[in-house]
Amino acid sequence: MPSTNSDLPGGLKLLIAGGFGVGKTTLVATVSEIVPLTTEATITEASRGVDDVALTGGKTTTTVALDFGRISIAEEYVLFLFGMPGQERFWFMWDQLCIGALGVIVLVDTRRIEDSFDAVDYFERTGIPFLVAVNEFEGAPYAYTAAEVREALQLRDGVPVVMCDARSRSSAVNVLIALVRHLQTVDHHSPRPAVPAGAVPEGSLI
Amino acid sequence: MTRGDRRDAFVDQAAGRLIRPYAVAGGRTAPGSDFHLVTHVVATGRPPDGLGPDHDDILTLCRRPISVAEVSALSGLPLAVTKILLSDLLGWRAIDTRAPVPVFDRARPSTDLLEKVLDALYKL
Ligand SMILES: Nc1nc2c(ncn2[C@@H]2O[C@H](COP(=O)(O)OP(=O)(O)OP(=O)(O)O)[C@@H](O)[C@H]2O)c(=O)[nH]1
Ligand SMILES: [Mg+2]
Repeated sequence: MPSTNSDLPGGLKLLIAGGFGVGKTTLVATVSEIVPLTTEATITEASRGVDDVALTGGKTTTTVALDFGRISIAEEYVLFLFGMPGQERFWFMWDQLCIGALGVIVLVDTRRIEDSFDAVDYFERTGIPFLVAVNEFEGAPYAYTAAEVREALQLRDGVPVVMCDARSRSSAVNVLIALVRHLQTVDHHSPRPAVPAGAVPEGSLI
Repeated sequence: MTRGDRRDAFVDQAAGRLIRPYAVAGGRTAPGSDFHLVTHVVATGRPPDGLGPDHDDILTLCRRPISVAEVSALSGLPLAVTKILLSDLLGWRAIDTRAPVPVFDRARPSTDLLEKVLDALYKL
């Protein structure tokens, strides 16, 4: 079905990935023009490789609450920010969520920096542009520098690292600005998640 | 009917909360690729006669342009059910849609698009 009504805004998607309690929802709430909303998405086990799997027959299904907020871009576009669950059992849905996304913010808590190793691995592998934002909790025993975080995560050159306070509007907005600036310069010829022919799909993310 | 009530209508304790919506939606499974989280929809103002309460509620949310994710969140219906109901409404020409801005494989988002996003962010 082609897009039909060009009077409607064009939807854009940014993702915020990170471990449990790292501040994803806080970041969404801080920058969103609406109180964050939640949609309940479901994915079936079999949908990892197959697109239109019938939900009958008691297939393994996982329900995930996706928090999101929105920022209007002039009259033309609306940018949606989705918090992605970082726990290992949800990784199989990242493929679905990443398709059609402009980029990703990997949010890191330096008290549990190892929680973000897998997210960084994942996004480096898929080639989707991302940056690392370090949410600075004041309870942290040691204030890491961006360089130390880069070293700990073994980040490729060119992946930006920014420090932030997810509760502060100006700080959270700066993270978004840094990501979009990165998108302006990044090499878009690295592999991206494959997109089936036709419209932008979310496949079986239902 | 409140959101909480609505939600419960789709929960079947025995079958789990997933199977039931599909029964409600006439046993249909995931609609095609017409609807994504950030697809926008709007009512055309040509509601078909005899809409059921679920379709009617969703159509009410579509009076102003709204994303699929928001329709789901505000109706309290799971994304899967929301997409099926929207699919029906599209079939009846009760809504128009606009696909997400395509960010395809290897396609750099347009310079113009990124500039507009930056401008809006600087104004926040
Ligand atoms: N001190 C401090 N607390 C924060 C900061 N960001 C978030 N928090 C708090 O940390 C807790 C977790 O934040 P959330 O935003 O819910 O984290 P989340 O990543 O969405 O968590 P899950 O969705 O449960 O994985 C909340 O109590 C926040 O108020 C921060 O920058 N500094
Ligand atoms: Mg959260």
